[in-house]
Amino acid sequence: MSRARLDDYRGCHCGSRVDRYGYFAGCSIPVRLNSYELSSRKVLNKLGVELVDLQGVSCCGMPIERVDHESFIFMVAKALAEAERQELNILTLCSGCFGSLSRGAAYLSEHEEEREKVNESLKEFDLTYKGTSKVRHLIQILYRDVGVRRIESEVKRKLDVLRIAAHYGCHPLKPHNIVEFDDPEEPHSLDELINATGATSIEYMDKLQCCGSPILAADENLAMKIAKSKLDNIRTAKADAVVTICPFCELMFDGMQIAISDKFKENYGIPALLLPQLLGLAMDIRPAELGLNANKVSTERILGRLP
Amino acid sequence: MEPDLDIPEKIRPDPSFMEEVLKEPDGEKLRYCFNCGTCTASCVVSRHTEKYRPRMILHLVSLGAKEAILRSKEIWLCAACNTCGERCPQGVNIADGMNVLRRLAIKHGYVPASIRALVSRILVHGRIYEVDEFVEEERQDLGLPPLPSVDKKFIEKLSEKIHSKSPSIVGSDGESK
Repeated sequence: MSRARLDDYRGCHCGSRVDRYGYFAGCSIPVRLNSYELSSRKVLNKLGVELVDLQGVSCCGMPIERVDHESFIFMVAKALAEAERQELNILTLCSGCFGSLSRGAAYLSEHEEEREKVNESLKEFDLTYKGTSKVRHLIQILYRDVGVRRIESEVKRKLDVLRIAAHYGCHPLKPHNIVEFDDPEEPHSLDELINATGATSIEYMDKLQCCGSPILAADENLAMKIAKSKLDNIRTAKADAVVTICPFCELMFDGMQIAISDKFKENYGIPALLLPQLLGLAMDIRPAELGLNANKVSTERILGRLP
Repeated sequence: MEPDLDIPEKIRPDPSFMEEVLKEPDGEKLRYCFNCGTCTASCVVSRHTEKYRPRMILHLVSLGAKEAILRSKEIWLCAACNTCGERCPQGVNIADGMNVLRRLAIKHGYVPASIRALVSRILVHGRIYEVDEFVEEERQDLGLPPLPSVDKKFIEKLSEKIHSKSPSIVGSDGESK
């Protein structure tokens, strides 16, 4: 798709609304990163996107995908069928949930036998999985449904003093044949959203590399080494902050930055913001209302420089 | 602690292993791998440790080194970033392939302690972390709506499924096989 077409893209949701979504909370954000939900709700509210709380959903199934496939599909189908029951598409802030639900939905659409099997299991919950509810990540809503121009028009406080290192993470972009969003090798959606605030989204070495957090449980040192390499590159490029769109990435760059600094005898001091926190600042929403006081790495060094 | 991938000098080929792998959901695609190494070249984990080489692991699968792979720590090192799947010239998603091997490892009784703990939290709390009253209070203070309550009946059903398909997921805390 050409850039121009992507920019003006107004949702091929085939009749379903693009301004109202079933909010899938997941596990991590409510317990470890409420600032992400808080800032997202504030920003989406200003942009006219309504979030309806989904009932009957809890875990997306991602941790079970590596344990048993049938159980994983059962969890995905349950979550999606609940959204279908409430006639909503799903919006999630978590890349883990997005990846899990997208992959599960793709599998179900290609395997009729599994679909029938899971619907047998869902009968006792008065649910049927049909595949009509779409799964969307926050960045897709902001980029495709709301659009860069609309966001630019909401900017009251230009952030042009800021050089931002965009961190896409992995699941909003890959596998492309399933998520069908942006370009996994040369993405630009997050960069454009950042630039809409007046800030500059910079290039830096290994920009698209994973943050390492999925292997924290298997090998904490290795995971931290991977995150360290990203922080090194972000620092070398002289970014004022890194911006993320996933709770795991954010917890790695923010929550664990001090531990990584200690471990490798560094002193990064690089603020790590979630995209809605950056957008919110540009829309002149107060830092406390964006949960910025909960960020572990002090954001003072950028807040102090803003108009 | 799971042992490192210990490649025996002489591998006694177990052709049934490849068949087992091919039968797992998402496993059938692994037959297309022709060992080009694009996955290892693209892999974020391979870049930061010498231990992890997805190409080699897939090669060992086709050679039938069943025990070495299923009991190894290495199959748990994939970060599932999907860069390999994106670039594989044969359309194989190696990250999915690692999940295939993990599921087989668990079915054969090789369960990392962290996985056991994670699964047990999901089956008790419905989520990987418990939403307790402190969490509810924090959300309330921030003006966030209450979270949906966990569907206990669903979690029970899920628990039955997991335990019947992967009985070794239940166990005492401590070492897997």
